[in-house]
Amino acid sequence: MNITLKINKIYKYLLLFILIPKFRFGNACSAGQTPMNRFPRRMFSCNEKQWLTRHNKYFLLLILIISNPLYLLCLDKDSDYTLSTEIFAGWSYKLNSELAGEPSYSRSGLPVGLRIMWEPDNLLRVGIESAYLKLSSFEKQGIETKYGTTNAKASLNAVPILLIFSMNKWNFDISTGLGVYYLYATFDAKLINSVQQSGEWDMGFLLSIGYTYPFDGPFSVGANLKYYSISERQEYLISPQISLKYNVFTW
Amino acid sequence: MSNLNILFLSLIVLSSILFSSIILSSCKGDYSVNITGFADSQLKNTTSLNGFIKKKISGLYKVRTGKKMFGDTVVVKWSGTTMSVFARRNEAYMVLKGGSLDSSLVFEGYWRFAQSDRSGNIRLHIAYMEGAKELLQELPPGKVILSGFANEDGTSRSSISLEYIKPLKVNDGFYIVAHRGGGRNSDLLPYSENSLEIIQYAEILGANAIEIDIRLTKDKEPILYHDDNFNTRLIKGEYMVGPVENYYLYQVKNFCTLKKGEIIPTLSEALEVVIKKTNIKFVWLDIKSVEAARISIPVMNNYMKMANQRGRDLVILVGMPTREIFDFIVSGSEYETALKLCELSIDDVRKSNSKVWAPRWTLGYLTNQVEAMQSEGRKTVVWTLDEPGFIRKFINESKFDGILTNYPTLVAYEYYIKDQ
Amino acid sequence: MVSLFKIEPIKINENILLNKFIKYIALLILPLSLLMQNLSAQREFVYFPKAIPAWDISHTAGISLAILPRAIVEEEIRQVPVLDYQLRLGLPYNFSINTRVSAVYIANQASIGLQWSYSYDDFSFSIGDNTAYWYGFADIDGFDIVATGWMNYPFISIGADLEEVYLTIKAEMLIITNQNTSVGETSLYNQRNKMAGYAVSFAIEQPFWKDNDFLLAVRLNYATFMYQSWLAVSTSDNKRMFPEFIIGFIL
Repeated sequence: MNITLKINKIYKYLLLFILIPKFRFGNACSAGQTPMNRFPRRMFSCNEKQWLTRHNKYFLLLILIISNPLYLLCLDKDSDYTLSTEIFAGWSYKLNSELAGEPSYSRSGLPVGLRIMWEPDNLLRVGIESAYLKLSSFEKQGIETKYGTTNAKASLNAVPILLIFSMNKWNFDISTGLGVYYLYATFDAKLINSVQQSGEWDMGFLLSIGYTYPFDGPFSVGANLKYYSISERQEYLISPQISLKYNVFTW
Repeated sequence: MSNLNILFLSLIVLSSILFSSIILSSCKGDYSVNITGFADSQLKNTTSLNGFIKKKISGLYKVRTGKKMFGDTVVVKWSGTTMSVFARRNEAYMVLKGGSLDSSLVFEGYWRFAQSDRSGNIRLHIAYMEGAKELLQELPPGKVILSGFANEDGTSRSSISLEYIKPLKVNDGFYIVAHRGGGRNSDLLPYSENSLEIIQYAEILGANAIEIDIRLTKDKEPILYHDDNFNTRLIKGEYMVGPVENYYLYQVKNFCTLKKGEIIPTLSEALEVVIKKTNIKFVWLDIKSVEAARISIPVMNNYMKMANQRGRDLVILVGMPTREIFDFIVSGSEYETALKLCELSIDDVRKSNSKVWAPRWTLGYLTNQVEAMQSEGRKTVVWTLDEPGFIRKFINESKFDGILTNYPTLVAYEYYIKDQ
Repeated sequence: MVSLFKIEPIKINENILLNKFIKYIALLILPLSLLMQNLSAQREFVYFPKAIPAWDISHTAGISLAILPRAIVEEEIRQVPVLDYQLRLGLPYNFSINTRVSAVYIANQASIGLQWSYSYDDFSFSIGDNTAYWYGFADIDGFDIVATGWMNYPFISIGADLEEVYLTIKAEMLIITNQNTSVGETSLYNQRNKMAGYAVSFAIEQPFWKDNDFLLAVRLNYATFMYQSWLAVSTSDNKRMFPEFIIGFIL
């Protein structure tokens, strides 16, 4: 048998094999409880903390989705590939709010982030993006607690980890990203006497349009308008940003 | 590989991502029911109805017109100042307020199909010659006919006419247990699940008992909340992210509200409302952790005492849904006096001396075991039964003493119509 | 990406480690494999609505994953992953027989149907109807329930042949013919011929490795009921979105 055919077969089963166990019921359920004895009470509930384990089939799915264009791009043997990194910063504004109008409520922030892209000499580019986003902050005064009256300051932040697909033509690009956001709230209340934090992973996506101006050499600068959506929590952000891009290497 | 194809593929990939995103965000696009009421309400100039009238109006009614919406018979039942009408067809029900004019009685409110988002306004009268004459003079009426119309979206009008057949049978101790204090958020009720407001609405929906979910905050306060995490299904409040036990009570009270704007109640607040503002006879605390059981049982016992002092016909029971909670409660001698509800086997019910056995409805009638429990003086309640066909079957064929449901209107209808 | 997989349930057993190991290997192989593939002339498809020669068979095996609406299953499991096998048998006069078997321990469906195809240039069109029988059971602690039912799925589909890629869009109606649920010693039969909703599918069939093709489909079900959610015994009459992802190897 042809060796490539053999590898092919093994690979196919491998792929099925890695997908199947993840699809089992209760795979990510708490320690010490077998899926079956957990099943009757809560059907197949899982602990939110193990979100990633529970959802990593999505990543595999995504990898499969990416593999299509990747594979086609790989067919073009004579083209160049570039690995680029981009740092960006800007201003953000949270679009939805139930606290709008409250004097101590702020829904703007200064996001900073990093994007790493693999750029074939082609239309489609893929990569990964992460950032720090401050969504909003709010201070409530004169809260009656059992410890006494206090003020409490809350803020909401997110760190996205997104797979980016980008189409580029004449230095303009349109990108979409799909992935997860670590959304967390921090509280600071004088009487409770500690900064306290709580968060979770949520699915979400990103849309962006931008223009990049290349200098001679590896550097270029750009401007982007991004729309972040933390879909699972229904939080939406719009953010104009400027970026500095550096082509790490080309082969 | 042509450039065109790559372009095509890229578009496919981009659009599939967009699609996935739309799917993800479509979770929020849920249904809602808006009850507007009549702009030209006739209730404004009426005087409120007395107990005699309410009693005489309660009963089984034959549907003369409006069969397409409400079926052949309906159950009319009063709770406080509200008249509820329960039907089988379309899982329909009505919630009405009433008043008397000089020579007639008028009722206005809304109708709903419990399992869909269809709803509208409804106005009914009892005309002078159709019962109002006697009712206004506090004489037993020869006949009572409720007639009027129901509309949908304020436009289409269908006539409704209901004719009194006989009074309602007396409830012989059957528990119609409303899930999560009255019903789930997904059933589009006017109040949020596990709120003080829905607890006070439960009787209007036909329940005489409630089940509520108990969790602890970081400072060990028992609150009414179902899910493990704060999420958009249950609350509004952007700073509430992640597990409930990460948050202090002051944060729960000040930084979020339930979906319809209510404040998340503590267990004490809920039991206070049950005792003082309702006639609910049975409260089932669905405890979510061992720690929550430890903290909630003393609170529950205090309110049990308060209810007894006030002469309230009420039992408050701590649920034992898991082996873990069961073992904890059974091992602690200080929990011996607490009233218990056991979801495990009948042997566990005996071992813990639980007052109520609550098996899942998906096990069927379990007639032998139910009879065994009843012969020992225990009650049996089945959960969480929502399928209309099975509600009818369980009420008519099984021996259970109660049904936990998201649709108490349906259970109430089937219960009051049984053997009539 | 890879580091995301490091968060595992608290209790790590050998199975999980093995699983993890295989996953890393697969992630390494995947990009390599993509570089090695080339195109074959002989192409097979299952979704693409073009007629296949009489008595020819094309079939696919893989996994489908349905995401159930939160309103129905709440915090219980929202993903029902199912082993999926589809077979298409060519008949004379552009007809073909479709069968699909989806099975996971507690919820299973088998369907069979007939379709007729018509092709013009690179575009194909087909119309057909599938009848499905589904079966679900749970007999563990707290459950003694069996549910079965018949569904009918009339459909039309159009597809485009983009040389390497077959692209298909399929629109279906979901009709509940009847349903029977038994709990303990009692059962309930509903003969209702009710329109449950609609579904739109997007499918890509393309080369994956050497002689093998690969199917990636998204089916958006907008319906009141889907058999995978039978255990939730939902009674809601409101239509909701049940997205379903299908990945398969064309064998």
